[in-house]
Amino acid sequence: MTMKQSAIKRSVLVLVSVVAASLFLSGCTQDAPDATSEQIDSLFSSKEQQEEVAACLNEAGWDSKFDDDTGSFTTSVPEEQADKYDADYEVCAEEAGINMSGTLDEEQYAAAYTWYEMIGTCLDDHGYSVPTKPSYETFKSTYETDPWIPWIEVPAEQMNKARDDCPELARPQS
Amino acid sequence: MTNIKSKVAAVCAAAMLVLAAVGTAQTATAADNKWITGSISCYGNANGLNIGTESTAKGRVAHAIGGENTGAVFLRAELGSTVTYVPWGWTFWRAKAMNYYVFAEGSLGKIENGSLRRFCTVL
Repeated sequence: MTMKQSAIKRSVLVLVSVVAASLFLSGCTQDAPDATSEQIDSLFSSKEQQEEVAACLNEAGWDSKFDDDTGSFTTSVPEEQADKYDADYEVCAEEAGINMSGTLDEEQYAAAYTWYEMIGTCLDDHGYSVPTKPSYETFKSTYETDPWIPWIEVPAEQMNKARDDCPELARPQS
Repeated sequence: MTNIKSKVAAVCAAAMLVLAAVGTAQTATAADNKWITGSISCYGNANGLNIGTESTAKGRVAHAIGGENTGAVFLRAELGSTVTYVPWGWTFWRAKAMNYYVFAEGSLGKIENGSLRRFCTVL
C-alpha cells in the first residue's frame, strides 16, 4: 500500500468514525415529535371562532364582513371609535373562546416545528431563500428571542406568490 | 393597554414603464403589547397597484388601512389569533393608483412580538 493509499484509508476511517459518533449522539438529543394536522390547527383561532366574533361585533353595531375564503373579517372603524371597537372585540373574542396568550407547551412547539418544516421545504423547493433549519431543541430554546422563521427572507411583495407556490404558508382553515 | 406608536415611512414608486414590482419592504416591530404603526405612500401608473401588508406576528393580529379616500375611517382586517408566529397577509386595494396611508396593528397581548412589512406591487 502506498503512502497516498494509507492517507486515504486513514481519512475514510476518520470520516466513518465522525459519522458514527454523530449518529450515536443524535440518538441522545430529543427529536421533534411528529405533529398531526389537528395539532397544527390548534395553534390558530378557527374559522368558526372568527365568524362568531364577526357576528358578535355586528350585534354590537359594527359592520363586520366575514370572508369565508380567508377566515378573516373586515370592519370600518372611525378613528375616534377605535377604543370602543377594541373593547367590543375583546368581549366578542372572549365569548368565542379565543385565548391565544401564554407560552407554548411541548405539543404546540412540536406542531409549530412540523408546520415550519413543511413551509421551509416548500419554499426551498421553489427557490426562495430559507434560513438554515435549527435542531428541535434549538428551535424551542430560541423561539421567544430569535425564532427560526422559514419565510422571513421572502420579500413582502413576493409573499402572495409564495402563498400560491406553497399553500402551506396559509394558516389552516379548519 | 399601552399604545406605543413609531412611524416608519415606506415609499414605493411605480413608473409608467416599470413592469417589475418595486417598493421597499421596511419592517416595523412590536413587542410586549405595543402597537405597530406606519405609513405607506404608493404611486401607481394607469394599471394600478396592489397595496397591502404582511406581518409575522402572533397573538391577535389585525391589519388596518386608512387613506385619502376614507378620511379618518380605518378598514380593519382581523386576521386571526395564534400562539405561534404566522405569516399574515392582507391586500387592501387592487388596481388603484392613489396615495394611501397605512397603519397596521399586530400582536395584542401579554407576550406577543411581531414585525410588519408593507408592500406595493405594480400591476
